[in-house]
Amino acid sequence: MGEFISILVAGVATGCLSALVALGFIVTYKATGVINFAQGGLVTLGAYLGYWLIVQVGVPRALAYVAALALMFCFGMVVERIAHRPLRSRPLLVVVIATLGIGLVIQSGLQTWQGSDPKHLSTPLDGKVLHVLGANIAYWDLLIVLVTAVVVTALMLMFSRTQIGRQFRAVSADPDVASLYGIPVARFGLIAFGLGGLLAGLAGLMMAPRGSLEISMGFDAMMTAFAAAVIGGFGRLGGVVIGALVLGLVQQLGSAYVSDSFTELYPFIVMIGVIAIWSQGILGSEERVRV
Amino acid sequence: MSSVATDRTDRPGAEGPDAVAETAGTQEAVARRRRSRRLRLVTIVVFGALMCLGPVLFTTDYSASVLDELLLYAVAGIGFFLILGLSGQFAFSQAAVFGIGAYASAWAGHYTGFWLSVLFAVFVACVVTALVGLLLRRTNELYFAIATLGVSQVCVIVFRQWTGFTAPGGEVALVNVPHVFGFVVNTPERYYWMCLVALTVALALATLIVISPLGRDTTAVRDRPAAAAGLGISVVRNRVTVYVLGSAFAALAGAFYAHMEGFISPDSFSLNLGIDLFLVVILGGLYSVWGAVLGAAFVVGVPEIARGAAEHRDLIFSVVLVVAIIAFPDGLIGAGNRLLSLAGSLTRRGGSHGA
Repeated sequence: MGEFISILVAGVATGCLSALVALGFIVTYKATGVINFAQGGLVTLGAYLGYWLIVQVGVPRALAYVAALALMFCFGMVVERIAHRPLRSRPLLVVVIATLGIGLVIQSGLQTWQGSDPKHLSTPLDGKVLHVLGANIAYWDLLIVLVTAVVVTALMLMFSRTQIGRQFRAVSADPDVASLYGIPVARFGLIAFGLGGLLAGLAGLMMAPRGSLEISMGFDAMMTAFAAAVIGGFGRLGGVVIGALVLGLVQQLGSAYVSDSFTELYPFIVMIGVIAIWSQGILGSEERVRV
Repeated sequence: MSSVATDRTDRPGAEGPDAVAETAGTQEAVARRRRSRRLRLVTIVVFGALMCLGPVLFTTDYSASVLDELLLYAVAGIGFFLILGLSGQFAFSQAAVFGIGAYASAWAGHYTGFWLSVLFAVFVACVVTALVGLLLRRTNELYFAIATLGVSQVCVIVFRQWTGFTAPGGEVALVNVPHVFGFVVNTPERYYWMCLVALTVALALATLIVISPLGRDTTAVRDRPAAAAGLGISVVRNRVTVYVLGSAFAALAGAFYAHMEGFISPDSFSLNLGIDLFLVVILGGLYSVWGAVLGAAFVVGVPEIARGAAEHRDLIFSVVLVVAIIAFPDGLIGAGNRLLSLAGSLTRRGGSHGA
């Protein structure tokens, strides 16, 4: 029983991390219709920025987190300036390869900067566990769940309740009409990419203490997040979170009870199975036009 | 050479003889098409003959092995051109298929000779990609991109973990030495001839595909899927066929590569090979078979020329990839063509037929 609960919580935490990664490119997608394949690189960058500020520079922890997130917002906007703004009228393939390429630039840039040895970003919560019904639950995992819940709720409230969220939805529904109503569509694209970068940074920072920092961590996380987004339906915040949780649980339960040498494989098998049957994801996706 | 795929980019008015919109052939058009077809094949023969000079210029084992790699990259790149350029499918699994070719031939090499193991490798890759293509037949292009990227991830994990098929850690040493008509192919120079034949055949095959009815169908499906379906072309069958065909090139290159290196590990087929292959097709130009040859020359050649930069190979290549896709979406060949047609239109009316 205790073991089962531990696995369950680990699965939920894993799922929440995927959800955080996925939320980044979903927000961008909703506002611009572009899937940002650089998201994986941004996640790795966020984690390494945190490591650099906290361990190598020695900035106080809270300040370092804020600074890293602010920097990530800027990096997200830089991606927009390179891979979205100048490529508006180009074929989709060009945008996809350009964002993927930027992700690879970030990845290989980090490799040059920090080398390829795995690093560890420690936290005050390291090794602290909560005992519930014989299960050991890491505090950090609880924090991941909490942060994800807060972010998802905030994003949902923002999209449904606030003025800026309504404008986002207007841009996403029909960019031309939105711009006729005086909404600065181009600026929203910039903000959306920035927000995507910030969420990527957050995901990277939350992910880092669970394992070691590696160059490929972001890309792998992005692929799992894609799987979650495909299952839940692109463009739906709720669907993506559900997809991510399902995959996290499948991954943890699978590696505990089926075979642990193929842990990373399960999400993709589920994803390919799902789109083979429902070509738009189980819940259907929100088709978006490119801005 | 007038390019095949014209109207995907914002390149205006560069219609080749194969454009979809071509009106049914007047006799002149048929004759012109036949001439251009012959010209393409002659170009390939001339290229093959010129490449026979390779060993004269590069005499050491090392330079020969670099050339071998170049030729194999070009073969895989030509397959990628068929998928990405001719068919317009966002299939990002080429590096993984290269790996499938390498591992499958290594596995089969335990039981049989070189040629059968290569055949087996191509067969395995065809089965896997046909399965992937069929499973993903109804998805939109972005999902296809994501799913094929997922397939690449899956492949690398399988290479590493499925030890019955590979070896612990996925690190396999190959034992087979190819025999071709009684010659033992055991040095890089001898491999050069084998790879050169492979590349020439690949070029000819790809060109034949491009100018065949299949190639025309593919262009139609790429540019106007609904209209193509209306003309009775099976969109799914066409896409899957081209995806499998293009992947077969990569599998062949992978099998040759594995035997040439004599040792393979999963990391050789991860994202870094992906960057290389992307660069091979994008930099050379997505719109011609020759783009892959040009791109391969860049990807393999530049690190050899600029030794100091070789350490930051991945960084430089990924930057070049981003710059190339943004600044020259038609690649070097496209840029060259544009220059040629500019020069042509200055001297006389109409487009150019420069090579």
